[in-house]
Amino acid sequence: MRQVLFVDHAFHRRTRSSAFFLDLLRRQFAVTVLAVDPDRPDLHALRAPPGTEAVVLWQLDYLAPIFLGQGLRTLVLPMFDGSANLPDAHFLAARGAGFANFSRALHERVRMLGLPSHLLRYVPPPVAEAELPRFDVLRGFLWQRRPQDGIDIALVRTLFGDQLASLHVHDVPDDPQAPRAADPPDLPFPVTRSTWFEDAAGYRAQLACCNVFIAPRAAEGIGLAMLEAMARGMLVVAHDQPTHNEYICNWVNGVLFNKDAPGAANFADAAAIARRGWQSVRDRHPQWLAQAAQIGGMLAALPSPQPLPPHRLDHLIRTLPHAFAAGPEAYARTLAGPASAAAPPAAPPAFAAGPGVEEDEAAAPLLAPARDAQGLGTIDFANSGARPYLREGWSFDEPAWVWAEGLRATLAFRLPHPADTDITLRCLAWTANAQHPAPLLVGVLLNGHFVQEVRPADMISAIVLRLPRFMLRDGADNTLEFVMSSVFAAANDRRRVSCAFCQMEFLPATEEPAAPFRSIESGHAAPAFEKA
Amino acid sequence: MTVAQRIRPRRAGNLSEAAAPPARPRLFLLDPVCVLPFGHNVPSLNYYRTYLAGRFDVVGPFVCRHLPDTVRDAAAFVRHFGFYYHDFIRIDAARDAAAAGALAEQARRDVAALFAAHDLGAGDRVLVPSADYHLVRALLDVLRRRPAAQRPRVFLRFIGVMEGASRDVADPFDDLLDRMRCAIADGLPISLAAETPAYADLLSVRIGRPVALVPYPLIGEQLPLPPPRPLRIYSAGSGRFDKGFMDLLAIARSVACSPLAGQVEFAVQLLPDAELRNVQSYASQLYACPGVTLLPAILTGAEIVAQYRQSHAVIMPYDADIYRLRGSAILMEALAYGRHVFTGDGTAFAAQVRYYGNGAVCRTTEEYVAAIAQLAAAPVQELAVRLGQARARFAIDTDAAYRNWIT
Repeated sequence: MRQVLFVDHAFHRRTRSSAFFLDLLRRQFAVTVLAVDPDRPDLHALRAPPGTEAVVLWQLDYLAPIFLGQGLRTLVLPMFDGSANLPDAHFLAARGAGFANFSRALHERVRMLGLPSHLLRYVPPPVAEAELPRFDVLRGFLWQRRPQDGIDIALVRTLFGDQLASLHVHDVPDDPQAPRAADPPDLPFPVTRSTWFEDAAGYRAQLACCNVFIAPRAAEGIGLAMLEAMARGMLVVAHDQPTHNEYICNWVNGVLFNKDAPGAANFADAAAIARRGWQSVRDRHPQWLAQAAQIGGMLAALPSPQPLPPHRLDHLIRTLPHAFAAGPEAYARTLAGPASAAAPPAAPPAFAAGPGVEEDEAAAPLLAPARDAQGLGTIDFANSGARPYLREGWSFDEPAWVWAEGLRATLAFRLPHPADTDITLRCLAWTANAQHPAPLLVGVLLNGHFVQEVRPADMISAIVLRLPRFMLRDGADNTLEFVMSSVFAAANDRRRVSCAFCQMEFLPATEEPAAPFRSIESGHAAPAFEKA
Repeated sequence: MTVAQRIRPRRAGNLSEAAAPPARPRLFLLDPVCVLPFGHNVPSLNYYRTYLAGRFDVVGPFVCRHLPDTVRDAAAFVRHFGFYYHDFIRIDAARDAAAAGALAEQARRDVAALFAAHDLGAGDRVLVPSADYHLVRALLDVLRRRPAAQRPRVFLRFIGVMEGASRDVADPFDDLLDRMRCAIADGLPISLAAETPAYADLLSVRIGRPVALVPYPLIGEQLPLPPPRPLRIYSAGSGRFDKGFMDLLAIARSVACSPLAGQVEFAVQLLPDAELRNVQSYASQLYACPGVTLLPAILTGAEIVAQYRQSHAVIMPYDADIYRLRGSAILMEALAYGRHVFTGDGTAFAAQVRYYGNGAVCRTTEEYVAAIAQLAAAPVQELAVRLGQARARFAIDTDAAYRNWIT
């Protein structure tokens, strides 16, 4: 594999925060860079150039379905500061992609969703020991990048008081229009200021005049500025959020504070703490080099997804970037699939007219090959090839999702080979509980045996079912039956529906207990198994 | 004629009789609490199966029906028992019985079915290496209902974990002791043992007869120690709150801030996901701490051995209250593989560490750091000899204990 498309946030052309990773890729691949401004996306550019063999999404995780839909291997690198507050459905929408996380917290979240994730820890090279700063007095450096978040001169005064001999403020906020408090009067230390430097050397020269670095943001995707300071032997002081608290062990190799309740601290051990920070970088840099050497293999090992039909891909390219730019609600509705981005949030999905699927009593088809090499197979409702699986009680009129029509819906499938373990079935469900007389309850039966009850959360929810091996039939039809507690009627639609389903994935059940417990992402109690 | 036939000396008399080995009694290994893919149950049963295979025809182990099939180290286990402990252990399966007393009846039926299916008789042995309330109660019930000639001898080993796990009676542990006293008085063939000296002594006083002391049997060969630096300390087994997971950061931080910084590494197995999701900030601080490497909560047997191979010591800052009577499979593993132990004072196995001289007993974080510094200063060759001596003493004691107890 040679041709890689690197999709990056346009802002990083200025900050160059992805440059180290891009350089790394360029050592192994022919890389084309696509810079995307999420607020003004160029939709035409979202079609990968001919010959592209893999896509690396740097921070722009929401674009994963578009590149997966083009049948391209996709590696997603979400950033904690951008993705931590997005719903689980955001990550689940990138099923079929590989993930690499620079944040341990985000890595665990993705892993616990049952998605494949590599945990990376970027560590820059340390400066030589002879270049470490002196700590005869403390000289602070603050890039006042987001003063509206409370990381500003007033905070530095609260933390350090008169322990600082000086403070340099690199006064370049991300948003110059953002509100900011006036600088406090009577500061116990002199303040110097700078704005954008001509080049990085200017920034570094100023940094070299200081020995205390106050991390400029509340949370980071990686924290390159913090890591550079740590590598230079500066004392790093940062808000207690990822990734700061994944590199800094408080008062060991840096100091963590709570920006929302800061207090005065004693920095008498600053020199020792800063030195341990530098030693952490020195000890961990080789580990990063080892991880970096594996990234090519990571890309090569990505599964090849099935491309979407052209009209579905067009729809996705038209809707997904705009929905993401429009905000969380529009984005969640688009992830939910059957809902139109223009529909009000609580409204049921817009319905296309058309008859439900006719019953087909022919032998059930084998599951389609899985996107993931470890999977047993999939049923992809975005594909007309899914129709033969659907038996009674489905409406096949919407793209990507199918509605269960009436109180009972069944589908049938055959396993590609005999199951030697239980099977985990993952799918996304969509319902509007406000339309039901009581929150929807779905009973699931496999070959007539009761498997599990699930309560889909409002809007979109991830459902994970465990299909016991002893209930499965090898070489014969397996019937999955969904029994609904209620239905509702959508406006201007003759159908009475209950719940819509998206792509279903069949995987060998693992020892990992977390995935079954997370069967409903909204945090309801774990559904119980019933014996047949 | 095969090579074996050529070299085997002929005996007088009937050749087929002389060649037939003496019949070994069957030993049924039972553990209905073996249901989770992590924890001590699976490795414990494998230890017993291996250790006793030379003396018995080991049947089973018989474990809970809900133990996932995918647990690689449990491939040969027989999934037989229902699960009786939903009130105590969360598993991914529905309750089999809910009404008061129904669990006891279910357990009795499970035991009776096992006895019937394998036609257990007086020549057989049943070993419960980790006694639990419902199984012990059920075994006593079933034994009592069988004619004396059809009663296998039952060996109950108490480890202080699930003996009192029931909602059926007000004080299940007392209830179990009462039932055992009656069973012994009625002549039922049961033999009792405990994992630790403290627990054996307590049971002996409560039951009014001697109780054997049988730690985990020694399994595995002593492994060569890795090079002296960095000194690597392994926190073995899925992380647990009662096993001091939340104390590890303080110890690792103190080491990182001491002159030992850069010379000591900690390899820490994380909590299972259900608990880990609630302590992510703490886990991140462990991850950030210099010298700490985080490992998955679940490792295979081979991966665990690899961790021991790379480490010089294990750390066990277990909760003194919870482990006042309990022992630890990790202690046995450390003894077997020849690894030093750092553990807290007040646990039942702290006395064993002192007795065998295979580690240090610490009361505070400062004492842990001092003990680690002491180990770091010890010559590796001397350490290996000392740990080999501890291993040999433990092996002699446990072999003798099992030979005296299970006959």
